[in-house]
Amino acid sequence: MSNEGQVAIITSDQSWHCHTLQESEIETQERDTTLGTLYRLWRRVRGSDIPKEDQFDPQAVLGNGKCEGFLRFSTEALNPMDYTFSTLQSIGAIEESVALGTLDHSIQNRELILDLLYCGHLRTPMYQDINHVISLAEYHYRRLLLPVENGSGAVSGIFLCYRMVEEVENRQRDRAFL
Amino acid sequence: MYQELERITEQRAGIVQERRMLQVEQMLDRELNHQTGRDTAVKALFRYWQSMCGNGRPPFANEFMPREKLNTLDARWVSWIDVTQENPFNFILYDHPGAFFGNHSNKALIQHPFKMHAARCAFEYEFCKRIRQPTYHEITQTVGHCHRSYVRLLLPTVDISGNVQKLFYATRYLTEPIAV
Repeated sequence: MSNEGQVAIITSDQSWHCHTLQESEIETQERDTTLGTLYRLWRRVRGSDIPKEDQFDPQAVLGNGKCEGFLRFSTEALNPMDYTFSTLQSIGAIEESVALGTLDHSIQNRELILDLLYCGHLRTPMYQDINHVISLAEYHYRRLLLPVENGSGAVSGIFLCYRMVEEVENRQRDRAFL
Repeated sequence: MYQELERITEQRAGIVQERRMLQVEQMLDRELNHQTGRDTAVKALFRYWQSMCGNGRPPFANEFMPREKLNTLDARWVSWIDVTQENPFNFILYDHPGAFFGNHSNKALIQHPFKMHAARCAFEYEFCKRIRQPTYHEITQTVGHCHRSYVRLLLPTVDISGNVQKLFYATRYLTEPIAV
């Protein structure tokens, strides 16, 4: 698995491994998924840099297709705690705009804030493979962050879509063999 | 080996680092200059902090004056952070001259030139504020053109209502910082 960066966090009860994969792998690994569909739309309307927000309409290509999580982050605020997000299409949907600063400082929220900062700074898609183990639960998912800009060229929003690769809610059986 | 409470390793554009949060108890053995037999600035600050604690609470911020109480050599390694803002990116650094990233005194974390480094710090400061206990980190990093390895002890102080108002911290280089 090639990667363009990685973060590993180990605590007494959690582990977090995030590999940021090369952009070229989106085409090969997400050929038939919602992430791939969104990426192709993003590329089609990007022009020479990143798409203007008013030209990027993910709902138009998603139609009734469901992915496990699809959110839009408003990133115009200077301070990332003031970024807000709303769920566009998801299970367990949050309808209203929510500020990141109101969330707890769990590992996944901390890392999300850092990745949003990175994505906005680099003005490039981020395609990530994440494995998060919390006590006996394990979550393995892929996510894609796609930045868009406003009329003055500033990154005004980042779309985030993810799909579960594997979800093992109880690792008790595995542990029995350790 | 020191027991790790958390270890973060990170490698991506512009930054390579390992941040280990270690047990404070182990800091006591480690922060001793074996050549001189003296406590390091980190431990000297901790001893002063301990002496100012009362009834299970951290010292009062308005009574905690390490720059006056520590000797001059130790005091130069001490800085502090105003953490009264709710948003950790708005915490303000003081007495933070900064050798590589410029003087950041009287500025908020969000204004730091390396936002990713500042963001990691923001969460660590916020954690110390929340638990109201000392936290001790060993950090090895290459950020931009700077490579450095150092330890940092964060110590909370409170206002009369018990709210954490300032974090004081002392650092010690494990290896001299170099330009890369």
